[in-house]
Amino acid sequence: MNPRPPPPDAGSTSIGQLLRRAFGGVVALVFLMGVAGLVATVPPFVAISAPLNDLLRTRSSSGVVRTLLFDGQQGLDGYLLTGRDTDRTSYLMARQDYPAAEAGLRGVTIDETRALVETLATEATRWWALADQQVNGMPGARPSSAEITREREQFARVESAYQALDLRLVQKIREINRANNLLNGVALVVLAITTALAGWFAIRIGNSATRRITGPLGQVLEAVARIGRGEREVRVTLAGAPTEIEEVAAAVNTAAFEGDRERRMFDAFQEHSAAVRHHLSRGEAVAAAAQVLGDLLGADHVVIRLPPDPDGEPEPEIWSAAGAAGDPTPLAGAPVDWDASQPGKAVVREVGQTPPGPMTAALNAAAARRVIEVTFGEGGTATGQLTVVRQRGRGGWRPYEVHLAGVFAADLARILTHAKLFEQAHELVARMREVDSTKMELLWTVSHELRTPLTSVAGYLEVLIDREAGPLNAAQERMLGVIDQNVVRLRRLIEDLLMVSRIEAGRLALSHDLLDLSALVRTACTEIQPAANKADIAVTCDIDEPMTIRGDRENLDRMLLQVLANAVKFTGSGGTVTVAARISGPNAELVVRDTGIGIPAADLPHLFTRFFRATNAIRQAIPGIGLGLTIVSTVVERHGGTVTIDSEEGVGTTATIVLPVAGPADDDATSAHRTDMHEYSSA
Amino acid sequence: MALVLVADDDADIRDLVTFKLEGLGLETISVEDGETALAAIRERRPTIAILDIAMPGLSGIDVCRMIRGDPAIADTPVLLLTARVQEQDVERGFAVGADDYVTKPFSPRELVSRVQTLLSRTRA
Repeated sequence: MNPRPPPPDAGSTSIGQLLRRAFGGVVALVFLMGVAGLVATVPPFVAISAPLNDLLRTRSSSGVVRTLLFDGQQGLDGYLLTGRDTDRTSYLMARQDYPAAEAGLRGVTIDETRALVETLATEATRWWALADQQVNGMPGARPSSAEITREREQFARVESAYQALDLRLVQKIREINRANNLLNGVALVVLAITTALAGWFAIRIGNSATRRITGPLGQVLEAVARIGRGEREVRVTLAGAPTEIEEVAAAVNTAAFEGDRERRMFDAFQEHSAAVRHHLSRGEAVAAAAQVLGDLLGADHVVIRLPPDPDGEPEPEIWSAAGAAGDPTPLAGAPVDWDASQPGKAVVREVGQTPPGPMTAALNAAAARRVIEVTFGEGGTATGQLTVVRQRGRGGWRPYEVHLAGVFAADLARILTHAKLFEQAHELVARMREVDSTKMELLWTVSHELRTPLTSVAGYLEVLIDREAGPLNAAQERMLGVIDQNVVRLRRLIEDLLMVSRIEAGRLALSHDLLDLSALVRTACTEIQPAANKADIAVTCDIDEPMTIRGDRENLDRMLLQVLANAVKFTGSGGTVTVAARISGPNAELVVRDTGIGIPAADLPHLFTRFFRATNAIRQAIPGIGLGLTIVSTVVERHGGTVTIDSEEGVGTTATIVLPVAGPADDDATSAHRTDMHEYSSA
Repeated sequence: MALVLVADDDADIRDLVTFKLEGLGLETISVEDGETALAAIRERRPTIAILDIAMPGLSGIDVCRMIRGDPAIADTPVLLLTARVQEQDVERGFAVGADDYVTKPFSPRELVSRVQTLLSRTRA
């Protein structure tokens, strides 16, 4: 068994942490970018807006000053020219507003233009002084052209001072705008770089986090796929993977371990249940089953009980693991209500949840904690009960272990049924053998007893036929001939029965004399001739070559006569029987071919079964009891030879007898040796 | 005149055999069991004893063994009648000193010819 997978490393990071880190990184980047943007844009704005505002205010104020000066000059010119009060009023209003405007300009001016402002103010003040003189001199004294010229020149100086100031202000504004543009460009570049960097970092963080999650996940997936393909040994091994994935891997490993264990258990079950099935006795099968199941499931005790049968109460089978505590004997003795028991699925009992009683006491005696109990049987009848005990301090039963116990029990039920059937069949065979043996004994006794009266019948018949008891007329002689034929037939029948019962009883004794098979065949042909003549059958027996074999003359004679008698018996009038023999390698081969009724193909396989008769022979009422070929094949086989019958119904039959030829080393020294001698009492 | 003892528990066979032997002009003693046969042999000293093997009480084999064990009658020729199936009877018969055997069912002609052979051997 593989060791259990180790629990996930407590020092590893989790997916949550990884994601928090990754997202935290991205959020930090976004924040940094915001800051960078602010840093890039706010200071230039701050740096620019104040002086620009000052400049603009200065320019605006200078505009006001200039407008008042211009209004004053227009009013002055108009008044000097026309003397109208409206012009004088315009002048005076401008003259009155001017000091405030000048003060305002002074107040807002930036330091860089202060000097120019002062110049403008000085020149303006001078102009106002000249203008005041001219206005005040009116209406009576109109200014001289020299005064007007002075005043005009003064105003030109004012104008020029103003222009100088304005030019300076415009320059200053342009400078600030230029600086502002530059700053904007820098800020743009900084922002672009920051954005690029932020993007790069975000991708890196994302990729790293993804790699650290998908890598191990991929390994887990691959392992699961391989396990799914049946690679039982595969386990996931991860280093530094996120804790959740390590947990998943551990779960996968545990599942694979359990699955593997289950498969191994079922493999072992397959293997061992075959071993259990080898036992043909119920007792042995149950004993083997208890041990196999105990080993398979790692049980502490296994108890198998069988219901009482007509022979009595079978002994319960008890198996205990080495060193298991407790005594399972009371469990084996606890009463079972077999009539109420139905074969069913395996159930798990927790000791402590069972009601108090002999069963609970027995479970406690066996130190049981959890037991699997299953009643098994066939066809709704309980044929046994299986109890598998696991003790305190051991784990619970896994579902597949319970399932296995159920399957095992069902298997055992079948094995027991088979064993029972086998035992019954065995008994039946033994009984039939006994019956058969009794029957053959009876046959032997009857046949033997028949011989005694037959001896008298045949003897007196011979005396009568020999006319020793007086002369016979033709009718009497013919009648005695019929009796004689039937006595011969009866005697042959009895001899056949005795021969077969001797064969069956293993009492056929054979001597091993050196014999000339050709001579034996010729004698048999001569013996069969009268019967053949009577049936008008031509028997051809053309054998000259001597063939030395080792065997029992009497039984070989009987065998050969039987083969020829069969050929004649099953051949119709006008047919032929041909007997040929030759040496073929180490064997003598004798072929007896007839043109008789043949044997139906369906009957050929049964020819050598005692008392079997071919269906066409029965149909044509040809006399016989079906022992001839049994005797022939037994005699030939006991001589180390073979008999083959080829036949075609309606065409004829060919019997081929192959007997080993006596080797040159054979001599007569062993001829006295007999095989298969059995002591028996005289009948 | 030769005297032949015929011992067989089957009266029909005894009659058949004695009929044939008497037909040859021989004198016969007919007995139905081993004990009687042995007593008759000791008393009458027959020329030949024909003994059936399968007799109640003393079997033909037993009687033959006793004949050979009794010096007074030990040279009596013995012909055994045996059921052919009992092959080892023949061996046992020769082992206890029987001169010949005939298997049942036998031909009376065959039996008579065997008896004549034994008689000629005795005379010679």
